[in-house]
Amino acid sequence: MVRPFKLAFVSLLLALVAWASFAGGQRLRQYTVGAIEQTGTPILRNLGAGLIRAADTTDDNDPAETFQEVLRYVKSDYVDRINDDLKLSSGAVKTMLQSLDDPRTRFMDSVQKQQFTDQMNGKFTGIGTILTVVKQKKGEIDQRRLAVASPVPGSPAEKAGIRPGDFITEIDGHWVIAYDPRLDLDRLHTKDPNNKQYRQAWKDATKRLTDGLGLQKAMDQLTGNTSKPLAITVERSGSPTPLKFSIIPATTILNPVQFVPLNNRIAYLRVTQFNDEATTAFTSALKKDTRRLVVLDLRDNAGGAVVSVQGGVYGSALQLISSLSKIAQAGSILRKGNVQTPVSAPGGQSTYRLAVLVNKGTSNIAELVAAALHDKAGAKLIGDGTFGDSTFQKLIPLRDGSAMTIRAGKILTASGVDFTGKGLKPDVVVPTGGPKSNGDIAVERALSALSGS
Amino acid sequence: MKLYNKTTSLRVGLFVLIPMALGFLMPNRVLRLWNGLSHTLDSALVGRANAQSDDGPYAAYTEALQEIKKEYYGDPIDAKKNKELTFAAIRGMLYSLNDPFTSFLDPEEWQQMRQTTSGEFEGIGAVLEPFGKDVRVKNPLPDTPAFKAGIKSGDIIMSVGTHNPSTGKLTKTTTTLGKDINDVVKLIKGPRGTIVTITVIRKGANQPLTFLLKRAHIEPPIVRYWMEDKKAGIGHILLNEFNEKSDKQLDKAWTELEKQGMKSLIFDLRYNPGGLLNVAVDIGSRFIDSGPVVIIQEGRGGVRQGLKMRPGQHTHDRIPMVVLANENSASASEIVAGAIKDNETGILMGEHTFGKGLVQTLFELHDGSALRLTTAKYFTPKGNDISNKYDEDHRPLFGTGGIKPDIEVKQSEDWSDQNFDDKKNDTQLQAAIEYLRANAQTMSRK
Repeated sequence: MVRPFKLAFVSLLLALVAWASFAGGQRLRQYTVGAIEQTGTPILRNLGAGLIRAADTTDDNDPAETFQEVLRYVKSDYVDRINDDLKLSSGAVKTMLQSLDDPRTRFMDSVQKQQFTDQMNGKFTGIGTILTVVKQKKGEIDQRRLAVASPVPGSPAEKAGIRPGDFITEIDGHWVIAYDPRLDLDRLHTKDPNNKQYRQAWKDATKRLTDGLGLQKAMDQLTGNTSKPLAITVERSGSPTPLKFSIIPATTILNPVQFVPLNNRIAYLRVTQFNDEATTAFTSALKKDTRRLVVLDLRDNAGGAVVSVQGGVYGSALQLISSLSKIAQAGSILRKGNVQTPVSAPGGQSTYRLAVLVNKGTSNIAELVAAALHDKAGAKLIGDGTFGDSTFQKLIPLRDGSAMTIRAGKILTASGVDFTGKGLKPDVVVPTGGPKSNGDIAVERALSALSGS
Repeated sequence: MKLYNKTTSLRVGLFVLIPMALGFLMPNRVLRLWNGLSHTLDSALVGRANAQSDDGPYAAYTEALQEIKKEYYGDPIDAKKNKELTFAAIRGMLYSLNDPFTSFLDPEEWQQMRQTTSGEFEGIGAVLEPFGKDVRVKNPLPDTPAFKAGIKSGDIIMSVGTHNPSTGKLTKTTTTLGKDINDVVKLIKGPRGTIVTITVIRKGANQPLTFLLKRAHIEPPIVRYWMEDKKAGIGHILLNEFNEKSDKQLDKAWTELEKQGMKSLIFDLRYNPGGLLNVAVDIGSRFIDSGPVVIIQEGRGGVRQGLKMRPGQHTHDRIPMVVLANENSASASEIVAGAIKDNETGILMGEHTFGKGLVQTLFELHDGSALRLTTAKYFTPKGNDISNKYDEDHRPLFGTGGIKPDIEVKQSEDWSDQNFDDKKNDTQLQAAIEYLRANAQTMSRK
């Protein structure tokens, strides 16, 4: 009588123990995952969140008070003295922004902010790439992949042959974490946690994750101010196998503007980056020269974040439009609440005949410029399809010396076209990487397009 | 010895030493419940508020939130989103402390945690797990509606019928094939006394089986015990966690084994993630003769206070003992293991323990959420700090803390992990049995 019951009891207990402790054993991994994905948050979700009626979620409590309350307890009761308020602030803002799950809205500490500002002013440390994070589906899995928007002209990356659109998948043998590889295990037949093969696969996937590099860390490594060679693995569309590069980082100072007369009628103007220095350079170059036919080279111009409407990237891009055309409305920006605001150029009087060179590295505001000149000033677009990044991204400095970037809108072309993900299609398709000093076919095609007119 | 003031003693009773995660961590679903809380938590809510509201972190959070509200091109920041952002900010702030045991529980999580105190809940008593795209019964717990009705391990939940709580009438049947385990659990759980219909697919049965069940109060057992070797009188007690029921169940198990002729004991703390501090002191008291079970130091250079052995706990004759532990023995487990090791009243065998020498306090916040904050450290009776160090990514550096076994025994690769019935491959258990067979006679009572 007693015995069978006891047996059953014992085996049930066993199952319970196994079950509970299996879960317990995973707890740490979970934290670990949170850490390296840089979500900054130990993930907490409930088993059967609805079993118990959730506390009122539509109440009038101001969550800001909860924040204050937590802060008070941390300051008064935490086991260690809190010496660094900035660390708490950064942690709070960083994770809050991450919770929006938007790669273009992120926190930058003072060091990252300085680096960002340096880049906008043409100073690039590391391998010399403008990096972006691209959301991409892998089956049902959402990936966030580290991509090259454009290699900085003259940088180690460009010299090594890194191209716009390249996905950086490994740095020094460490996988750049694009998703939780344990999600792949769903594809295995068994999900039984006691299955040995499954457990091994889980362990392997976890190891891949813990050995991997979070996106911010990967970016920090690629832009770090060192001279230690980096082994970089790149995935490129059209290339069946990953490409491997060894690149020695070095500081690249970008000369944003190059102006070269090509013949007595046609000038070549290259604008690689929009900033105040570029504005000064192209304005004076165009003023001094009398040629009225211009090949405007916007290849590998990645655009950038907006600091203020008057200056910086945005002001420079609009000034370029005004220096080359009579365009008054360069495009528009779709803001919060779907409010469409026109983007007005300062208004110029010039009439140039234009050919605009673009490629996969032509991105963001550079795409707006190319589209405006094409749609409103009859410019021919020559080269490859552009990147298709329409993000109107703002850089907002915060009081404590850090900063945030925020997705503040979407750029529409002068004709109102949303080019997100699609990019612009050139009138004359010429496969082209960056500019070449000799035998640049895209330039030759532009020359003949302008000469024939 | 300084007496505790009221606040201190109240809080000591409420320390949560380690959260116990219940649920399965599957690749696509991270489920967790906290456990190990005192029932009397409500009375413990300590209200102390004196920090300035214009402190740096608060100002930074407010400033960034304002910018998001003003500028962000995406879903509008409504009240719900505002709360999500704020909770994320709170979590980020706590995360920056680089302390994996400090965390924020939103109202839902907090309520869940309270409800699952001591692992008790109301439902049918079946432990579920994801199985392929479906959900199946991992095991029915003994003496529960599921068990009594004949629901078996491996049954795949095909549908769940919802009944009107007052009339008992079937109101809706929901197909659960392909559903998330969260949703299935949500359908099945409910207040005691109410009715639920479960239809399962069972291997070998040629048609689905339907069960009509009355939900009940479920209390999963915490202690397992049995005789390992009747001839040699070796008993085995496995303690799953430290909650209010643990000490009583341990006492009962011990009595039962004594009746079966136990002369030496294997006290198994492997995979025991901890629980309540006072329970650790109660249980630790059973194994030492005098002095503190553990020494607590509240934050910021506070005074170290020993929590004394409670003589009332000496209800059994001490017998030769081996304590089994591994790197998943944490917190309260380490308090007990540390007390036994420092007092040399048993042989610690197995692997290095986890290394959690920190104590958390729970603070309930005005909006119904809660803060679990590390507020104290603890040390073994000899004053050893057992806390691990952590790297910048919050990964514990194992071996930097924890308790070293007296006799190190690595577990066999062949052992089916955490299957305590797989005795043949349980190298650590075998070593413990051998040790007691050989040495129980000569092990002196200290």
